[in-house]
Amino acid sequence: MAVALDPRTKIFFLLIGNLFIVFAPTQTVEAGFVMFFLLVAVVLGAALPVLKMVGVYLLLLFLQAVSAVWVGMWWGLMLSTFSQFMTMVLPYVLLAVILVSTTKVSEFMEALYKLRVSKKIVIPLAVMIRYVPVVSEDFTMIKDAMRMRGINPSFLGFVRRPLETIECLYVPMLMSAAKVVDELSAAAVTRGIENKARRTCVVPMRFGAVDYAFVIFLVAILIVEIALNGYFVS
Amino acid sequence: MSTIKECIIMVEKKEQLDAKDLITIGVFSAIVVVLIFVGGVFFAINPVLTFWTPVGCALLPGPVFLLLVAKVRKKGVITICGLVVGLVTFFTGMFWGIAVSYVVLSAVGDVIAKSGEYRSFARNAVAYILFSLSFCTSFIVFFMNRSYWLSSMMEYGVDEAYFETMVAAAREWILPTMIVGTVLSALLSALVGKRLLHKQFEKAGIVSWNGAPR
Repeated sequence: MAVALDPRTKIFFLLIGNLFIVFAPTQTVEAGFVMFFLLVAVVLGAALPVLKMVGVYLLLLFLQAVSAVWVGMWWGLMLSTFSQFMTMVLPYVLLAVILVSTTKVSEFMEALYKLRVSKKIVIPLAVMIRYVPVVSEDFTMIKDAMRMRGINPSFLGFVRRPLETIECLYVPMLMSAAKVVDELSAAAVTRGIENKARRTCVVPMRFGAVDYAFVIFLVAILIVEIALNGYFVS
Repeated sequence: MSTIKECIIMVEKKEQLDAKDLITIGVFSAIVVVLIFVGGVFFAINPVLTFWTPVGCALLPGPVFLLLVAKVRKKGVITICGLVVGLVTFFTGMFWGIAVSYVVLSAVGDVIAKSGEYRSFARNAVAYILFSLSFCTSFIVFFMNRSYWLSSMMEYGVDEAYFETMVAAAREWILPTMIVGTVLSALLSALVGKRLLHKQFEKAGIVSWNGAPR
């Protein structure tokens, strides 16, 4: 049974989780925090996508440890820096995934409104979060269509016929984006997004005891981490 | 004819960003984000090419950016786009300075593009170049605080000598080259965008360069 936290608590978790990773003195501590994030994700009911990412993370850590042996060789260096970069970025992406996959867009918007964020930021942000997966989906479809027309969508094709390849990639993508904008804004206006009145939400949004406890717990962890930082560095 | 155009410009001036504009910004920012990552990731994972990440990031989103500006053409469009993109970079673990400079440089770019009523290609292109330069911030900080960067890299078990030789060899010229490279790459992207806008999107009625948006 997943615990339902207030979306504001989840946003706070995202922010403070970032700080956890930033202040992590060693990679072992960082990996420990990743495990903690996994635990939180399981409790919140987003186990599956996060579990996959943690698997990738562990694999990358392994790769990093192994490739350190061959760091003198150019390919060992490539492998090592690749795994380093990915292990550096992955914990942050993990946090964002937890927030996005456990929060409905409407809840997220309501939370941001309650935090008094301007409509001018909330709407583009919510639309963007929703639309990023669609872009990558569109991209694969466009590539298939290009292959059907006999245009090579890879880097080689780009070198051979740069302008044609660019056009074939951008034009369908932007056309479909323009269409999505029309449809989405028609739907949003119908549902009253331009209404000046206070927005309401079906899901009751209250900061419960669990939320307070979780926030205090997180702050405590951060304080302990920063206090122990000097000990780790020396 | 010109009076009609002036009238249209006047009507647009009064308008605030409405829901449709905000949704447009959201959708196009999503594409910009994806293209920034597609362009940059190849460079970011490579030790020798890592300094060229901003150049790669600047190369792809230009046409999208220009189309967004051409579709919305209201005060704040570039600032909000920069803010949203900056938030994404922040939450995917990039250096926080990148997010800050996205906001600041887009706001500056917005003022510049506004001075041309978002219709002058040159000013929009300058705005895009500023937008793209945001990614250089993290490297500027690296260069200013190199010892910190090196120690954090060595902590990961990377060969010390390699990085020392790389940084020693690179430090004199690589920062200006990176900035110039980013400007050129962004300019190229904007030029391709201009061509696409004229050739494809005007014909399709998505935007019109001189008159009102659609």
